[in-house]
Amino acid sequence: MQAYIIRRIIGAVFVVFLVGTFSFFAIRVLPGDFATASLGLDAGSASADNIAQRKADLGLDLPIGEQYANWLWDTVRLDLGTSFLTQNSVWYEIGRSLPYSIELGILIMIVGFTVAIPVGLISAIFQDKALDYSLRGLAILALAAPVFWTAAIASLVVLQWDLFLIDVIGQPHLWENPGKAITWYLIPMFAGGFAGTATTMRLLRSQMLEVLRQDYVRTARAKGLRESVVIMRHALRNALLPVLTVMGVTIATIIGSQVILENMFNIPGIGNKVLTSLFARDNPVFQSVVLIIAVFTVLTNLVVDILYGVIDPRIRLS
Amino acid sequence: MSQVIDPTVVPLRDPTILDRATGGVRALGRFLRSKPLGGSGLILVVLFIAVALLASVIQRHDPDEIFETQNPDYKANPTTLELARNPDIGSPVLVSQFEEPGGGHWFGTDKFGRDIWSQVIHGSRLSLIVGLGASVIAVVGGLIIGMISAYYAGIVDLLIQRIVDMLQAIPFLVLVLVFTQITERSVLNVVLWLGVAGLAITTRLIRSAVLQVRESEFVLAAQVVGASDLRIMIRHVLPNCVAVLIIAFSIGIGAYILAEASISFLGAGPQGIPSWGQMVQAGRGSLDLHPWQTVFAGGAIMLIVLGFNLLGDALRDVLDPRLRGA
Amino acid sequence: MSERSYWQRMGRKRMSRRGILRASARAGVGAAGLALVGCGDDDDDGQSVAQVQQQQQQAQQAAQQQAMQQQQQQAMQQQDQDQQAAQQAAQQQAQEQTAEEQAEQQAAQQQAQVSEKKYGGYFVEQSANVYETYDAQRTVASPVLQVLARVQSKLLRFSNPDTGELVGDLAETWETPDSTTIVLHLRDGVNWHNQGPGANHPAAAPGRALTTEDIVWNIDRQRNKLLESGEEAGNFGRSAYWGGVSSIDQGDMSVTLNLVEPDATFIQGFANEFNLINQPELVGGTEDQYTEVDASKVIGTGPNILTRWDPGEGISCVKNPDFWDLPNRPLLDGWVWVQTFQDPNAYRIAFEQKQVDSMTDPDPNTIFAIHDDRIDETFLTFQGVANTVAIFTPSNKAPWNDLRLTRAIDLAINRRQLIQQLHNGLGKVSGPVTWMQEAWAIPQEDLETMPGYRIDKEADLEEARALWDAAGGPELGQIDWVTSELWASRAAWSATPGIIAEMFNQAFNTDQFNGITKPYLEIIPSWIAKDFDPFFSWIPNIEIPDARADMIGAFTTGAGSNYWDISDPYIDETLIAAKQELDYETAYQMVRDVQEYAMERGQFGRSICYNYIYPYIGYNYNKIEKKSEEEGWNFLAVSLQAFEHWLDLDDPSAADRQAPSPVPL
Repeated sequence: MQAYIIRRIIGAVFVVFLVGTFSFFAIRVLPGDFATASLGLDAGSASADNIAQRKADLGLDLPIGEQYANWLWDTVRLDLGTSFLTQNSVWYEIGRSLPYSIELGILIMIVGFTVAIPVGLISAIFQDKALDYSLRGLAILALAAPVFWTAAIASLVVLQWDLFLIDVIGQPHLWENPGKAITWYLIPMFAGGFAGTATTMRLLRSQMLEVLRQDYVRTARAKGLRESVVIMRHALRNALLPVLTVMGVTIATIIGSQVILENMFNIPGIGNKVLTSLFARDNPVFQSVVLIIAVFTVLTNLVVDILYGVIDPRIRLS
Repeated sequence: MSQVIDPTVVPLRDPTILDRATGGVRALGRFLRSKPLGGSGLILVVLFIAVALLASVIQRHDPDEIFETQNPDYKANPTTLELARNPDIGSPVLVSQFEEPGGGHWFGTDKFGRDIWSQVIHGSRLSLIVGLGASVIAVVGGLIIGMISAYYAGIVDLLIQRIVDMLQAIPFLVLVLVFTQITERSVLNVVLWLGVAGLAITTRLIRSAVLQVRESEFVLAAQVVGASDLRIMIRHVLPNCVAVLIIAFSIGIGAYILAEASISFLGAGPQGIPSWGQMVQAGRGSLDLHPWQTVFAGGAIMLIVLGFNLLGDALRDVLDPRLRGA
Repeated sequence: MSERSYWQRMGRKRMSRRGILRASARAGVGAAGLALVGCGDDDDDGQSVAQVQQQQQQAQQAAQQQAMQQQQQQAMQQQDQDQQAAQQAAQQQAQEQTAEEQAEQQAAQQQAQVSEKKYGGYFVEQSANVYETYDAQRTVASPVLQVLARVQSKLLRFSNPDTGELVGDLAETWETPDSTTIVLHLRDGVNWHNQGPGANHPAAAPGRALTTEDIVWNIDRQRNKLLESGEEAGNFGRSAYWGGVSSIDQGDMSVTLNLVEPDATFIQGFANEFNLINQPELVGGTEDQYTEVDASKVIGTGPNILTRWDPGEGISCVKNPDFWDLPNRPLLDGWVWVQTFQDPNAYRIAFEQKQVDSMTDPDPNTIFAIHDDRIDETFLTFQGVANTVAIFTPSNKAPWNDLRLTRAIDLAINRRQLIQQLHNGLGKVSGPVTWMQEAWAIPQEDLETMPGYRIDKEADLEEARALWDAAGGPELGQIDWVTSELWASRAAWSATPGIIAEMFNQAFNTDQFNGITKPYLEIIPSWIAKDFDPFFSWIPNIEIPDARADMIGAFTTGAGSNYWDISDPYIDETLIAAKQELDYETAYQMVRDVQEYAMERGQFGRSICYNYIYPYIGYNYNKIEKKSEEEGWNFLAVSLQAFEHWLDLDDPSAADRQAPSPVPL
């Protein structure tokens, strides 16, 4: 078991290293750089001198190998550098934006699971019945609608009828001002939650169908247990485990939809940072933020896998 | 020339041909009956493919054509005051902006005076090219990498798996955004990069399928007989992975279409071709005054993704061995 | 229930755009004379300014007359008079208005007189996100000015930003004893801020009186492009302008600038929004950290004190309690700038829910939609944007060095169609001098009959086709027309590359033209190397209303923005003569001659297309300083707003305002 865990941790660290390297080179391969971008609008008055000076100021004139070595050494010492855009330390930027993303992410997951679990369950129990079809149809419809589209329409509805305040400037945290925060998060959390529902729901449904055919369920039924007990205690518990293993992937998907949603609702979270730093070529922020997301997903996968390994010894060997 | 069907050689009344044809129809009928959701998905997909193929026929107008109307208020050399009252007065022709849906323009016109119907019709081409193209690239690439990874195991497998892990640790949308910005944003490049971004999932799916097949008795038997690796791969492993390949192919299409719409929405999509995502973006500023562009383009995205997802789900239900007979 | 949904409004016609282009009136017709009226009372409890105004008006008028007389002795005054003459002519033109219109205007004016300016409140608007420095002298981008113009001062400032009329700022008066000498008399009793983050910086000299050395230091560093460390810096954007000073003499609170050659445009440069005066101690002492923007590195002499400058989070300033100039200015207690909204959705939410007090967007549709929804509590105003839209052909190299091709392109540009497609009709065509520089531009009425700008586009196109065919245009093969990626990244303009290509393809009955985008990284070096592709986009800010400086920069041999290697003895001679000419009519005619000369040659590949008009929406409580009911100042009005902008928080529209507060002193 210990060897398995160690093997997994080494693998995880290697993956994080790969992600860091990838994002380091990716942002530098892209055409354009911050020095030019920041002078871009008034390009005519930007001379070669100006651009060269900006590059030197930002350390963008060093050879790429040297930049990479510097980055690696700094990152190992947990020094993520300073944002080109805001001149704040990247740690400060992450510390400021991460809580928002975690809040929204959790809310999206809550919405997602609250919808997905009952729907997946019902749809498995009533397999191939009208209820199954209509619920699945709805879930797939939700997955098919682009989040930016549903969110745009929803926010317009709120504005048209003055339904509630969406505090895009105060940017309250849930623990500071729960009332204001929840109205701010309301549209993105449902837009993101519904879109994420379908994946979980479909997986749960297929897992349930498989579990319901297992011998122990048949045994439980044969024992004369009530159907609800069979489903909740025996089937659902076993079907949920595989669903939890896709948490890592789910988190990556949620962060993906957060990129757009945070942008639309001025939520200064990680997803917003990814986008602004990518478009502005704010190298230090972009590579660090992608790294943080990777650490997050990899860590989730690792914990789930290790827990799973503890529960199910077969996995350790594979 | 050589392909001319000679009725004397292959009699049209050949019962086997008829059988095969009706068999196909029957199978389709069975599929539609047993999988009504998948069936409706199939219908949607076929509909969109037909629209894309026939776009130039049913477009009614060129998607780039700019419609103009004569300006009834036009006055040559207007005074300053007249200009102030009506800024358009000095233009003999006006761009037909934001026309309502009607006989002339079924879906109305956009702010550039272009026909929204033909834009939406042509947008289906991009979505289909992107969805199908990226999926083909992801499956073919995933097949090659997945087979290598599964068959050679060891350090190669480890390295490939970690790279796959890396790709999966980055949100798909971010990956696509980064990739597509590297090169010029032509349709081909965007398709290519979407396929590359999708490699992680297909590689993983195919690798585990190949692993399963590799452990099976007939592969062992072939190895014992001394068949080459390549031969085993092609003759024995590949045919047994077809179901997984179909699933891997169909499962991603909707996601690629949505990803393209999302990056187009963010202004980073392919250029020079009507894109639904870009249309949603362009129209949503005045969604309450001129909703049509956003509504039709967004609806089209939803329908095509719905179609592919329904079809993909049904195919998986049919092909996934774990659920077979359920 | 409000009747604000689309479906309930189906039948309604498109909103009237009456008065939008009132900007088309030449010169500042009837522009409400800028109230330069100062008030003695410092009480800021929402007390009416008008009361105090009346008491002080007489004294003030006397002082103004005195100042006027002083000015009349100045050589430059000739030009002012001529501009006034031009205004009078324009006023006469305006009198041709219908009686109805006049009555309306009078009513509006009366209303304006009745409304009394009030003190207090803080104004909230969107800020930019990228500030490459806090040093206005080393930036090329205008967002920095949005902040700094409210906390720092210039030597002079524009009282009418459109025509370039000047008033004193740090220099109370100025004179020009001869054509190459300018004497600036500094104001007494001006002190640097003695509170706030900037004043607390160890390098700063808070509360110190302004000296002539301060001014000389500011001019010298730009003139010599030298930092305190002795290092040369390439990013002093106005160094070419200050290079026009050959030597500086200091007197007792006066600075004498000796110019290299006579330059009638020079004085306006003092009021260029980029020419803010830095404190030598603070800015000189932090030159090595000039890219690290924060409030502690900014100290000024202006009406407000900067209290926060965290790019991407928030910026705020509050009223300077010891402001020297006008005791009752600024009217506002402070300003808050919130971070840029990346997405129009959030911006719209913020505005509609009154979290910000104003909204601007290059796409008028959103603004119109909101205004239509909230017709009773919002107002619209329109102002020209100083970024000029242009189409460039590289006429310095083959095949475009054939002026027939360049001219064919210039004629084929469907300027009015572009304005309609990209800006919903909100814009006006511009000749080589844009209509924004109204005193120097060819009037719209004249442009309408000139090739390339004709109302009868078909006539232009016929000529264009003939030239195109004659010069072998059809044999050129595929032509990639570049749009900057920054332009095309705006949703409303994303279809631009296709639109441009389609415009030329239709004009020449061909499909040779293909629209592509490129990032500035590729575009800028190609300009500097003078080896660029055909191009459509903005060209840089106009910095002063006097167009002669821009014309010289673009058209004379070897000038800074002459990317086309234009070298024409006639142009060189005429423009230099125009620069030195003090008589406005004569100088105008020279500039006009050069414009027409250039237009006959397809503008040498530098085809100015148009300047568009920005719609600005605000709630009725937001009393932004503007030219007239619907028309705002065209450009360079930042410092004007710093003094005259106020809020009427008693207005019903202010009831459910949700504004954040500035960081206090």
